[in-house]
Amino acid sequence: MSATTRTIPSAPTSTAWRIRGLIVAGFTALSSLFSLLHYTPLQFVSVNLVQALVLVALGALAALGCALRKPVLLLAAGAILIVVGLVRLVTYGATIGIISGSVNAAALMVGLGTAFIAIWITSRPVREES
Amino acid sequence: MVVGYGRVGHVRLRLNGNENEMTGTRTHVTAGEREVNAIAIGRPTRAVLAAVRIAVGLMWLQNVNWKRPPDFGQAAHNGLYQYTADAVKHPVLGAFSWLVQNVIDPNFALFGWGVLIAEFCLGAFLLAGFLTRFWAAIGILQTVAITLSVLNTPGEWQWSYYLMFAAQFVILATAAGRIAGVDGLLRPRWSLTPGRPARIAMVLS
Repeated sequence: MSATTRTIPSAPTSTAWRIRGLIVAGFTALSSLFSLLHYTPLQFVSVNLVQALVLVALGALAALGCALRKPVLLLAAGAILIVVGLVRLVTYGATIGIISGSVNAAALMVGLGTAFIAIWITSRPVREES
Repeated sequence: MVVGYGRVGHVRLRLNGNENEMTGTRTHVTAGEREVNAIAIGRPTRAVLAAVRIAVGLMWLQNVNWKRPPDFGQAAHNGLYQYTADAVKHPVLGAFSWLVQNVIDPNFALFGWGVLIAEFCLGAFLLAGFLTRFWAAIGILQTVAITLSVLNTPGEWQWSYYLMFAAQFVILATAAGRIAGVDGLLRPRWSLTPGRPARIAMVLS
């Protein structure tokens, strides 16, 4: 049994994963705008200043990965978003100064992080046992 | 070609050159009928399904915020505790009220963490479209619990909960994560990957 590399018929091209990455990076950065919104029915996510900065920085990192054709930056952005989100989930009972953000922004980070990692996976060729 | 059977009222219908008198008895359903009634799965349909999935994800996301540990409102009788207690104050189903009183209430912090984690994941993964069918099924179960808690509470609009069911059944039935979602990206890979995790992911997505 040797591992071979096989391309699936529907495997996205470099352009495809970069466009998808840029779209998700854009949504990530734009999510920070929720921090400026204080009208409850439209404030789907409560984002504080620190969380807004994290969203902008990691959105920019992912966009940079797409621009430079470095999908590993998408992996990095996704992993950091998931870790930051999960840390806030397990510490939600505690108030930790300025970094005490909302748990729904944390859930948003986990969702966006999952999307970045899925896009990173699709940027790689499929390895299949043959 | 006969492809199935259907029950129709008193109508006269010509399909594939065969005239059938339909008088409320079992009649043949032809490929032609199926073609005429085929549901469009073009771009507008796909966009709407993705939008429904994202909207339901945002609904869970927005509402996870007020389930606050460590006591989830038990001390002040507000928040999640207040809504759960409504299952006893304004019972919908006797068995569920008994469950809340005798099982959930004595272990409320554990229950609260379960709700927080479930709704956190519902928001995150319905939004991203990851293992969408699984999370839609969890959302339906969570909606059952919420409905049985607050349906008879004064001031509640019952249709909120019926619409939650409807939206999540749509997501479950159409596997809406395959459109503009993580499932759509990963399913082609999972389909080629041997092993149980990939097979399970295919079923849950």
